[in-house]
Amino acid sequence: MGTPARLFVNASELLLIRALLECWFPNLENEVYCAESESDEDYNCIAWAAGDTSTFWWPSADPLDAFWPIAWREESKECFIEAFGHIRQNDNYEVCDPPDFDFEPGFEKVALYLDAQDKPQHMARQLASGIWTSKLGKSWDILHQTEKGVEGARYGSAVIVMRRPIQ
Amino acid sequence: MEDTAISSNIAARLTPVVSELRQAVTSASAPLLVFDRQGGHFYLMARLDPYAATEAERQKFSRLAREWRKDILLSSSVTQDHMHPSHLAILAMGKPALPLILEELQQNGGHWFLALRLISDTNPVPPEHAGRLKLMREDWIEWGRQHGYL
Repeated sequence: MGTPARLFVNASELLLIRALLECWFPNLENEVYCAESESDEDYNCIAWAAGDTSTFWWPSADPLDAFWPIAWREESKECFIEAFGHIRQNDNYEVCDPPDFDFEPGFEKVALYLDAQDKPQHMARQLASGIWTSKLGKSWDILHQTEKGVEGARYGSAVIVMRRPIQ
Repeated sequence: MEDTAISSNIAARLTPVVSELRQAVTSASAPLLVFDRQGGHFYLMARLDPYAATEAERQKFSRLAREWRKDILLSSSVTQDHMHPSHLAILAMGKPALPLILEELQQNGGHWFLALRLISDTNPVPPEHAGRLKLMREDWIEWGRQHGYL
């Protein structure tokens, strides 16, 4: 897993970042959250959910446009579930049915956000502390208290949660 | 030898207005007919690179690129990024956008790879670099240098 460049800002820059984040994601006003990394367009939320900070992941029709771990490329929840079910040789993610976003010791969870048309828009990963980490497109990655922090008009709702056992 | 002497003679006579001429030729979308009063001759002048961007195209590109960057900042979807109206407008600019995109890629990065592929009708990125944007940028910048765009 790569480590993104840590965000160093002064107080006024931090206020500006917080104002932007709460404008983009109003649910964050009700949560404890913070921006963690410098903005970086070289990886996106899907890569970050998978622990990759050097690649842009997306099931674009043309394989030249972005990396995708499986041959099937389609912007559907089924394709994302299939991909995260096969990104490792062992201990891959399985869908939690019914969805349970609460922290479970011994498991790492990722949440898939879908828009009103059921199209994937975002992914977040739960850390061992129980809080969630999200890479916001090409901008910062942030820590947010619950999966609901980045729900809203931009990313839709966290609908699917997958988990994998960790040592 | 004679050709060189004639060229030097023309250049010397046109020197006082050469910067204005350069500006006019760079901005013109079609060849210009220039009259040399002193010599009493007409010269047909055209941009050396017919696809070089005019100042108006440069400004248009700058505005569209700024809009595109702002609007796709939070997006992870390559597909949505590519379908953004500003990106489509840049694609529609065609060849004059090519050096501008390469310049932008070199200075500010960005996800310009589809535009570069479609406009240049080539792809210098090997399949194993797909999605690794740092390597893709390096591939395109190298291509731009090799082809005289950078």
